[in-house]
Amino acid sequence: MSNPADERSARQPRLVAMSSCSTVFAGWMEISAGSVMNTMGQLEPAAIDETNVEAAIAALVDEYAGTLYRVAYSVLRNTADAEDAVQETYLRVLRHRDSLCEIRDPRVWLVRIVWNVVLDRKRRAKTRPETDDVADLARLLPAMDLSAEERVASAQYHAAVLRAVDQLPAKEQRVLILSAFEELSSVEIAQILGTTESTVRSRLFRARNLLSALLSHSRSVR
Amino acid sequence: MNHNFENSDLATPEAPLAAEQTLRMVAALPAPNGLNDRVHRRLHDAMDELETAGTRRSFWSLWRPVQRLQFAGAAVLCIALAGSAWSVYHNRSAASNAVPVSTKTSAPTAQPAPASTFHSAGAERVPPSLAPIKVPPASRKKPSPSHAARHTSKPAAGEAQATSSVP
Repeated sequence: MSNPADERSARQPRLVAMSSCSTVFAGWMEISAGSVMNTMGQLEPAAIDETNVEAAIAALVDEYAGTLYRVAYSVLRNTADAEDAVQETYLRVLRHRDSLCEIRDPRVWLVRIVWNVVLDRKRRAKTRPETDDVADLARLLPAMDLSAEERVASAQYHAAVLRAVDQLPAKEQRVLILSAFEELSSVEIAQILGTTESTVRSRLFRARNLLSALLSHSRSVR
Repeated sequence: MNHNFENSDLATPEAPLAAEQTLRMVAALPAPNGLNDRVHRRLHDAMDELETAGTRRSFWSLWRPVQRLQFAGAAVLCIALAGSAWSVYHNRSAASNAVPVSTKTSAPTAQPAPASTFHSAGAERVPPSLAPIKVPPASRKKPSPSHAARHTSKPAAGEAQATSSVP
């Protein structure tokens, strides 16, 4: 069974290392982003050169800002914080624009940056709760074609799950959160977390077991 | 995607998978409208800041060679100062070394012995086993010229006697 994420990552264009990466920024978005996009609408890293780095970053914003926001939101669970994290990610990209043409997989690279930004923010704001109420987030989750009672039950269920996820150890929790993103394969999750694929798999297995235990415990308490 | 939540049993073996469904739903929540525009705007502002910082840096880059020259000049001055200080110290120490040598050579004659030490005051000890040699005091009279002549002619007369006695 082939993983759709793997297929997608195989289709992903690879950034080709170029000899010189010095950039001169004449103006933001003056060069059309189409010059660095391929026919599939994806970023063409080979087209990045000295003159169109700004267009390349603009293309990265258009392409991956949504993904980065979702990654940030799944950890921070706060709209404003997640948006700040995305902006900080692109500012870091701008700061390290000279190494942009050496990046092989911009998606994984960006997710890794936003992941580090998010963890930094979480560490700094340790005293502040991630969200005022998990139930608020649970109510945000889609519940179409459900009656009012079912929606309430759905929200309660999601809240219980999110509380159980919060109780997981940090490493297992991170793997579980990232595995929820369908576009990320286990290899990519390993790259983002800076570990091996086997470690990711074992952590995911442990996380599922722990989550099951936590959920059964919460059920028995009820 | 939806789930029968009223009858959902969190303790079933499928519970973790169902729970992951919740996480997937969280991960699939859409980004807010206008996110891309806000990011573009923020990057544009950052670019402006970088440009102004770049021009400021380029202005100061003109100052850099002068600064290097200043540092080089300061280093030369420091080295010169240190060298001159060392040479002054070295000359002074050489002079201070030379003065004691000259005093040492003249010390026995020029400098009197310290009062605390004993000295012979010119006296020489004569062992009692030796008989003192009595030297007759020299005549105080000034020898007359005839006497002096006799003394000088005496060896010549002796020589004559010796030659006469030889057969």
